[in-house]
Amino acid sequence: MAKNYSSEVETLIDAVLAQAAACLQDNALLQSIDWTKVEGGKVSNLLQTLDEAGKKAPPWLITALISAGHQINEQRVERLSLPLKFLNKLNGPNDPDTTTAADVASRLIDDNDVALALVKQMKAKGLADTALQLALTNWDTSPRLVRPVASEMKEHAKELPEVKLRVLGYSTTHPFCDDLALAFAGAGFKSVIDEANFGEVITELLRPVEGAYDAYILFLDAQGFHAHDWRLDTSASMQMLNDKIDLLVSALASFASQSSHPIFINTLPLPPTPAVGFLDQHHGDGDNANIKLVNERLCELTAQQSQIVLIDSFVAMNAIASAKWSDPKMWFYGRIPYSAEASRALAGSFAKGWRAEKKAPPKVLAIDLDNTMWGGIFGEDGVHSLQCGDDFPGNAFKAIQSEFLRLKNQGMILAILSKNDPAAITAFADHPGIILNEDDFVAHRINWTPKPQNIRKLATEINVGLDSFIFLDDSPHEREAMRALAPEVYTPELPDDPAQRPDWLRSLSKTWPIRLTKEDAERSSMYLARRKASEMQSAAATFEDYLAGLEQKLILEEVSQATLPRIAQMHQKTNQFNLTTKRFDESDIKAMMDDENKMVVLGRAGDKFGDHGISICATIAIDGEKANLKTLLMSCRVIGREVEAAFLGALLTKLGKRGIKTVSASYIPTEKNIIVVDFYAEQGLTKSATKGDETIYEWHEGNSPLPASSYVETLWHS
Amino acid sequence: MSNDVRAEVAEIFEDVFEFEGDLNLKTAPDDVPGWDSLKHIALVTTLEQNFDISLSMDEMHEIQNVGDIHTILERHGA
Repeated sequence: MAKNYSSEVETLIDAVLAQAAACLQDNALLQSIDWTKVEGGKVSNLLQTLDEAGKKAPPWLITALISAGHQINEQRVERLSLPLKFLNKLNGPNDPDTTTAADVASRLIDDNDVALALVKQMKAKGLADTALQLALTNWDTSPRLVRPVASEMKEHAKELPEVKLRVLGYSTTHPFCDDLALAFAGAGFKSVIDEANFGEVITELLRPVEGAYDAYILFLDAQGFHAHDWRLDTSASMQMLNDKIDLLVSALASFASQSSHPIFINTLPLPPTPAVGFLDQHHGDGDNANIKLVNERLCELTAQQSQIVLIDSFVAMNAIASAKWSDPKMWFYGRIPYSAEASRALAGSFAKGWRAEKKAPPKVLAIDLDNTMWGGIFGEDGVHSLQCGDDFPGNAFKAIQSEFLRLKNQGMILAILSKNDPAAITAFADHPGIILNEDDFVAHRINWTPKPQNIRKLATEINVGLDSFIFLDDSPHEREAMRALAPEVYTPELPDDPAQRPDWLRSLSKTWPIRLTKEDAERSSMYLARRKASEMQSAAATFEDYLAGLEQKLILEEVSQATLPRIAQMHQKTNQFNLTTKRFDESDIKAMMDDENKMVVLGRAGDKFGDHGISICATIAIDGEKANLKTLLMSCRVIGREVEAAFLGALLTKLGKRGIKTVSASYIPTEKNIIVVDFYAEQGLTKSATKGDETIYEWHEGNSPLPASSYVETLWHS
Repeated sequence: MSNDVRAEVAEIFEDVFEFEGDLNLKTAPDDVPGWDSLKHIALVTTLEQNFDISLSMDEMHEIQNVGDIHTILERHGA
């Protein structure tokens, strides 16, 4: 690209710059200048000319100048967004600050030129990884970002965990597969994509290739699935559609029964234009009516089959006007069902779905109080002046509190993290408009200690890792401090405007459940029961008295279809009490369930304060008279109560009865499971060998002691 | 046809086809490995995105060489 304007044009530009104030007044000419071709000295003069004329350079001009690579005096950019301020710094000679760079790379940038300039400048300043991250974060709305980092992309992808995908569709899937590869890279996965033959959906579903793919993707489109044949009358046409739906639904049900891998399917988007005018929503020939019928049947099936994950195409494409969901010439040219931007948006949603399937979602929402939980400042305004209730503007805070309750009902734990007078907690009882109660929070830190320090204490108290936290705070300084000092915590940019926050929180896909287990919904109350139990511990005379007073029960059973999702979820999520940290997923557990030489055993723990649900589990491989504990893991909410000893004892007894003489078990260290380093030794197993990091223990029926706890009553449920 | 547009089209060819050879107005699908009907879709999509324009069905068909691309871009005021 040319670096400078020709001398003729330059003369004209100089004249425009000299009259910049007048140009701004009349909104003329300045907008059309390509500032990359104007040298820095002239830009400084321009800003000075404006100052002298008493005109303030408007934000669009400052943005254009910074995007073109010019560095602007810091005081002019104070009110601009962090990405723009950071780009301005990159334009200067100093080395960039990597913490801010990482923060910027995780943000959605709505100005494409700013995003592109950021990617190029980050790369030029040696921040290639950050540049790539930014490109991947914003790629679906701004595909040009990928070009400058194409070579980094190839290198980066090599290091990511691989996922093998089989893509099926009723229309052309090829351009969509290119989008999938980028979307999966953005979500942290290297995809190996294999496309089924054109239109082969039913045959593929009926004969899945077991073990060849980690997931199937069914890319649905309305035209490909069912093109309305207007030569037929309404009833014949409806019959045909119903036959097609029956065939697809039965093929999907057959797939789910044969394959242990998930299948992701997008719902059909509603049409932007009706087929039967005003009647389209209900008439038998209506496109809307028919598409709703297809989606409804897919929903019914999904509710019964945990292997099917439905991707809501409306949510996926909601930033795009519905008239732009397809590109008709591309449909006629090559049966490409969606426009390029819609295809990218859908690919992004499929990738988010896969990430939710593979990575543990955050468990704890740590919330600030003043101007986040409620409007106003407790310490200055007093409890009765705080804004929260049915009237403006407190109703926006009531609405966000209601969203917190929603997440709590979906299994998230709420905690308070506030720099405040500890008495602020009384607001929950004393303020009539606040809908949350103190009991809705599992823990709180309300004091003057820095929040990154406090959140570590919260993590210890609740017994979860820092990476399980989402931190919500209205103060940019607090957010910055958290990102710098506790980068494991997910600290999103809370919108400044409280009115925007409820919808914004809903759009935060990291909080989206992919499958709700009953335990998820009950988890909050379980943790609360645990806290009440710890309070009792401090009152009890001895630890033994405390344990004896708990009246603990442990019910053991083998895994079933109903408990399978929870067992897989525990394998994905448990970090601390996890002897081998093998991340078995639902398909692995299902395979063990169907194998008579494998056992998957789980325990439900409870005490007089509440039911803790499925809290411990193990997978066992049996080979004649020998057995091996492949995994043993326990939820941290019951750590320190001898549940593990009771479980292991009951399990070994059961194996003994099955004729097993020797049981081997391993400890494999990770960064997080140090608490179980001596677990097997403490339970009386004998160390038999070491293999690299791994330590192997053995238990011999009749010779080794049987682990047990006198404080936990165990029984087998059949 | 401005110099910027020429440079941009060359970059797009590099992007879509990984083509780094000599690009002139007569360069046609036979000269560019990989310029098949499937990649033609990616080429049109990329042109649309980069120049913020929307091509018609006929224009998609009209592109037989790089010169045609330039003619179309000029028509759209790029």
